[in-house]
Amino acid sequence: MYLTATKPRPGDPTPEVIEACRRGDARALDAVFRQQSPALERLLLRMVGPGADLEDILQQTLVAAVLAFPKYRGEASIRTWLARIAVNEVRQLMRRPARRRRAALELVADDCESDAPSPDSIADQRRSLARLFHHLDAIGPKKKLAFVLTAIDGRSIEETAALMGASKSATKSRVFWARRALLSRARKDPLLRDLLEGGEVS
Amino acid sequence: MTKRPCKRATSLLASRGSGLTEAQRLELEHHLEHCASCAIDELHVQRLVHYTGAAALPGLGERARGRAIAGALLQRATGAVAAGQRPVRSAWNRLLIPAGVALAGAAAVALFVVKTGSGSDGAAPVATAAPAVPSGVDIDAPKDSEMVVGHAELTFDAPSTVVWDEATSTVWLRKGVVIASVDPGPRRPFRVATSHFSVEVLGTVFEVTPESVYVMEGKVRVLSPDGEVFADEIAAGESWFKPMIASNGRSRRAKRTPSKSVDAAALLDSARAHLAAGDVDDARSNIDAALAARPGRAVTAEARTLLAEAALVAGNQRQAVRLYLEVAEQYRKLRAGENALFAAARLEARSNADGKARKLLQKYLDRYPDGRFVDEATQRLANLD
Repeated sequence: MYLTATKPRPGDPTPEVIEACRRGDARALDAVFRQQSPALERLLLRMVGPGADLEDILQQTLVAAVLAFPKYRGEASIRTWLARIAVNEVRQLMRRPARRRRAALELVADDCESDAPSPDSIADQRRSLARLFHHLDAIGPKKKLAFVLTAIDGRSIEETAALMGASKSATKSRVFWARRALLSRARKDPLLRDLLEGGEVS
Repeated sequence: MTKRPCKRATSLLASRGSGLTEAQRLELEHHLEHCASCAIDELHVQRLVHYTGAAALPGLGERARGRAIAGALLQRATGAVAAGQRPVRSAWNRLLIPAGVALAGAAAVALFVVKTGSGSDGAAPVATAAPAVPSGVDIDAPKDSEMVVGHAELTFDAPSTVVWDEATSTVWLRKGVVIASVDPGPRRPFRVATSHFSVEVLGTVFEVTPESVYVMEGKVRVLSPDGEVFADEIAAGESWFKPMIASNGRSRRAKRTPSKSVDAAALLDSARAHLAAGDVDDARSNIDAALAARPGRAVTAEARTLLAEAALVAGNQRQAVRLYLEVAEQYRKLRAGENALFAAARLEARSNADGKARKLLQKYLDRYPDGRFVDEATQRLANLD
């Protein structure tokens, strides 16, 4: 499965900048990474969930991108190409048993804004999210990533398949089983039961 | 057993992202209209998905993002990462980046740069030309400030007082915590000395407190003030603690196995994961093991806070309050202490113990007038009144 060429978006790096990145030009790499890292960060966050060492994972992804740049042929947009590297990095991370997760149960500082959610509700929300991502972790990395990329990140089956280096049918099957496994686990979880029933998270 | 049409519907729901044909869409809609079980499944999946999207996942700030980028580029520039090799953890970027800068030869002369790190998240580090660090004078360095002396860059992890001795390339640490990142280029020894010991290095990254040394990169040698070798080689990941006086009057070497401090943090991570999963027993085992490794004060406070969390997850609110209060009293200057006091007050308020909650909230406000939960505490106190 290959990543298909996409129309360049406004603000995408020019061919000259890409060429400089291939040569390892630090300025060009810095510019491209600065432009692409917010989107990359959002994607990583959705894949790894709250509490993970996001900065570390982002850096690992960027290091992998630096190393892979000489092989970048421009067939996919830079954004998609980086997304694929991010997916690979997260898959590698998931294979490691002792990956570090943090902050799941931390207290949250009040931002001192009157309309901001209270620290209580933020802490509860984080707890529930941590639980949800715990269940996602438990259903297996391939199923988890297929589900996250399609259902949460809103990508198509084709794009998800390309990002994961899998066939369309394998990806569909993963999403299918991920939905079932996640629902089954979430329904048994007292913290998430209220959420499923449409109430506030306890 | 799932019915065949339901299986088909779930399959269509899973494939929805690739765009269903009109016939498939109608088939799916028809099934969801008539099959309550599948409709509920779909509703529940949507709620979970919506929740992950709606909840504010804590992202990185500009600064952390910039650090990740700089760290990636630096590792490439310094050849720290070859193809197939895992990159260095970005948590060390703050240390590696200055080291890389030093490697590039930027710190040839003694410079003094103090920049407080408590500014806004988006603020880029300011590299300003600075006067030379005066030799032989006490210098007070605030937490998170940085200083370049000789061929080393110092980062202060706590309010510290140091004296720089240019002639011997030695930083005397009177109090506080300093992380030194030493440029190996000049091949000249650099020392950080306390009243109990001195650490001698050529090029490395390490942290020194008046009682201990923790090596992050390279190797260091620890000497007594008289020049006696306390530890010939402390390698990356290893800690060393100053010799303690045993009951028989002889000094006891306290070189701690490297894994202990590292393990404590890993064990607490694992405990958090167990707590998130509701596995209180496993979490407690991890926390106990972490405490048994005798970690530093901050990690101990963190571990004991997690014990309170464990009690809470186990449904024992009284015990949780008691444990929080212990942390609050014993670590009142640490953030864990502040968190714990507010958490205890919150729990009391939740269980309608208004008197106790009021007392604790007032205590919080008195103790931390600029604390992180001041607004929340004030509001809760007003509600109780």
